[in-house]
Amino acid sequence: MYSFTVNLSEFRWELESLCLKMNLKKLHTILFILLVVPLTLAAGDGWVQPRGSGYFKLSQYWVIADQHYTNTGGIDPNATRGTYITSLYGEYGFTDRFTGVLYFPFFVRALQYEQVSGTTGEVILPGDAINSVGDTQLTIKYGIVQTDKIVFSGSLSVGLPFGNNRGGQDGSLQTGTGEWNQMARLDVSKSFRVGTLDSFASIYSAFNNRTNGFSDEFRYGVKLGLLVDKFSLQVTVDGVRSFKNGDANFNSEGTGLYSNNAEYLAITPEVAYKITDQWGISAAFAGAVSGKLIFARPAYSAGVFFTLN
Amino acid sequence: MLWGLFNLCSCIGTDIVDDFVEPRLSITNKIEVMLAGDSYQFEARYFDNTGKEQPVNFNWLSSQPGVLGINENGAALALAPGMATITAVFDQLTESFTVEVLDPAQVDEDSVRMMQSQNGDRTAVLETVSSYQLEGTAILRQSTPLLLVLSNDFATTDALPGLYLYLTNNTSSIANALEIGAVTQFSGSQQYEIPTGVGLNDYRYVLFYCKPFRVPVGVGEFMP
Repeated sequence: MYSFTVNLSEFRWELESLCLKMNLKKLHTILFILLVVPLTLAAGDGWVQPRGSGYFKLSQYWVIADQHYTNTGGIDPNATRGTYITSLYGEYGFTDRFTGVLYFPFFVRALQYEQVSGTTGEVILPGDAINSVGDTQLTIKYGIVQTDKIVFSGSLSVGLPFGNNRGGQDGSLQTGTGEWNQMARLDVSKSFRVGTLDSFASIYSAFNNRTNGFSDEFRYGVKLGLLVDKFSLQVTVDGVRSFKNGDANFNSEGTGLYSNNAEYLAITPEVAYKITDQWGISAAFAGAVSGKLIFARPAYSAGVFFTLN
Repeated sequence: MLWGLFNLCSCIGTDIVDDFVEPRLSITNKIEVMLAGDSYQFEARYFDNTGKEQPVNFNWLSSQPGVLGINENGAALALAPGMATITAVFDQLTESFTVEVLDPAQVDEDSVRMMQSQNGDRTAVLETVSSYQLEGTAILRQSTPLLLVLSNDFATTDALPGLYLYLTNNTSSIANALEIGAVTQFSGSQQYEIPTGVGLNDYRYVLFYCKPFRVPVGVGEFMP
């Protein structure tokens, strides 16, 4: 049986993998949002990295969607769009209280399918794709309360608009939003046992201040995790509500379809497996169970992670 | 390896659009009255199963050749007072309408000329074909230039990233449609100029289309 301290350590790698998701937020074009939303939500939890420790992950995130939630909450079709994000994510403990976090999507591909007449077989509208670096996020996280019973942390993030917000033939493909944003977030987590299994629960809330006409957002979420031998299983429920204090979305053409004033409630199951003490793999899918102005198809991710102790 | 694997899968795929429409024949310059002794060139158009206009040769028929004669090219000659039905035929498609031939000695000629020149406006009741709000009335107004007028009752949403107006003969596709422009005013009366050369009867529908996502949002069929 593990000691309590060991349990926390075991949890940390999986919790931190969630932070990766948080970064995704920043990417939100609609495509991204879809992607991001599910994965992003879990970001970080209440734990921070001990000094000199770290967590690093190379992952691929993708979504292909031929329908979306409209502004009324209904589901409408759209020409199929896809986004593929290859990213590096890293957390490093500068001290036992301060952890630095980097999310760097170094290769993002956004594409739109061609449209072909079902009657004549002729191409009606050609397909399109762009590739670039994506929007990047830097975060500093502080462990406000770090006890064995409960942990409580706050973080500040800045989104760097490195992506292309107006790409493709019609300017509607994006690998970024073109806006800087700043997000403040609070996380509370607690570990406990379920029978003989280690488990944890987390909640968070965040305020995302966006610029360039994008509406600010309130984000919130709940996560439950379970450690079974070398497997980590967790489910996150994430929500985003828009303050709708930005421009109307029609102004966003070419900068992020549906990306402005988007709202959603998403569920993200994730499984991770530790191959060794330091190396592991993870996979997740995320889907919005309700939403407005986001894609209505699940996003998927898979990655390899490394923990530095 | 992971990176390469996933990006190899990220090819541009194909969406198949169900863009079939029933082929249609349309007489585009109907008139209701003629004066005996006058001639008139009727015109017709054929739109195939995608709504695209195709050049074809029509057969023209008159139900009363003694009243209103018409040749194979659609050139009509009013011969005597009475009623005649003109029919254009291509393949299995037909369209007919009735013309009254008047005696010029018994009517005000100017009034008849005015009736002939007055092609009335065409009106379309707008309805959404999506989950987005779109309602109101569109009027294709005979003027120089031709105008597309959205009435006071027009209302839609500003949530769409790129809502565009089209005139089309196929509401599933913009392949052969005429793009009028982006919608930037989301309620109330407004009007758009139609490019020179476009006729009042060239298009059957007004289409509201989300250009970035390539989907119809709302549509209205012009009447008459």
